[in-house]
Amino acid sequence: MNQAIKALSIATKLLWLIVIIFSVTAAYSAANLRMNFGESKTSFSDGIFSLSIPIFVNNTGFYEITDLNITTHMKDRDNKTVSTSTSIVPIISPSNNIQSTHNITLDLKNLTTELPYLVFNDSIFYMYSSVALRFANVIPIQISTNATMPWGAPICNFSIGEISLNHAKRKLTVPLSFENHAFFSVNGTMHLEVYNSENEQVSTEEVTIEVPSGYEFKDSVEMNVDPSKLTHECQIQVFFEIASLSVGPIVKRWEISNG
Amino acid sequence: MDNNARWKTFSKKMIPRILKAFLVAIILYFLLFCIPMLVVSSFIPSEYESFIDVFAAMMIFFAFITTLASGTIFRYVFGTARALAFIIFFIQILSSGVVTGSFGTISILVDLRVFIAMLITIELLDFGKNMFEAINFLAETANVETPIGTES
Repeated sequence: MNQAIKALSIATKLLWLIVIIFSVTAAYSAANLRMNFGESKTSFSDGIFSLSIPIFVNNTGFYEITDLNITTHMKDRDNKTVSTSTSIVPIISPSNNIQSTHNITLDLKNLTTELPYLVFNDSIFYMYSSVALRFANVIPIQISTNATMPWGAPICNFSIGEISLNHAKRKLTVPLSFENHAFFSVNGTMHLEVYNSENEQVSTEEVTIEVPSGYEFKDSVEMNVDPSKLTHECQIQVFFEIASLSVGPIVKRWEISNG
Repeated sequence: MDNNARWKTFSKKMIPRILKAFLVAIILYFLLFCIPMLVVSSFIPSEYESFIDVFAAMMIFFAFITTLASGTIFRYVFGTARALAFIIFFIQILSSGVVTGSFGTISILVDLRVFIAMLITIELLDFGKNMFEAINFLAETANVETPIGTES
């Protein structure tokens, strides 16, 4: 009996000692853990926007950090996922530091296919970021934050003005306007097609557009047309090919007032 | 005269114990109440401060009472009760063993369940040890009270 009591007594004291030493050293190590985010860099090419955030972790503590996971979820106003980016660092040994990069990518082609309203309407993205790690192999820690990011539509407030027909010149004049609220330039082509009421194509035109970010496009496109093919009611279809995005058709019906 | 002698023996035995119990309680009060509140109070979310207060109060109470009852069977009774009380307390925390705190838009979550499970294991060992000690104490007392060959 006495030996059992002694053994239990030693075990209890030893375990208390381990727990106390672990608590103190873990608290000290956590206080000495340094994590910094460097200056972010943005790039835009081939319809893919990417934001690179450098991460520096300096583990000057006694315990290793495992499964460091940095995740960013971007969601639209309807809570649909716009982008998910994850960066994983498997292990950071004690008295060691690492340098990694967290890349957030936004594929505009997929984005505008799945959420077409983003082409024409400004919106807000909700960004949920979290840093999860396992400290000393036994204590999972998660730090999370959320922020909002404004989204500017590349073809905002698009409008087709009053279409007029010049019989003498056999030309249709189509006034077009939109504002580029996006962070990238709207460079590409705008394709216009005119159909009569029998769905016969009566005219087509392609114009090159270059609208820098924050600028407005306001122009009239002149289209050659055979007036005899025009019917009282016609429709115009507008297509955009910009930054590897295919947008359209935007359809407008109109009646020829003097035709 | 007989009462006086009893009182003297009682005070001789009890006064050092009471003083020792008070001393232990005061030391624990400083270690568990004052120092944590001074050093880490800013890091502890307010909703978890009550857990620390309860833990410290339990530690002080049981340390005081077991010191006071040392040399008697009650020392082991209170020791067992202490281990049991801490097991219940840690299980209570374990159910919400995920500590969360918010600092502006940043929220922090620390999963302390493994750590709390370690504390429960220690208290289980302590519970077993106190039970054995109580049985051992009773067995030794019985041996002293009924020497071999005198049983009826």
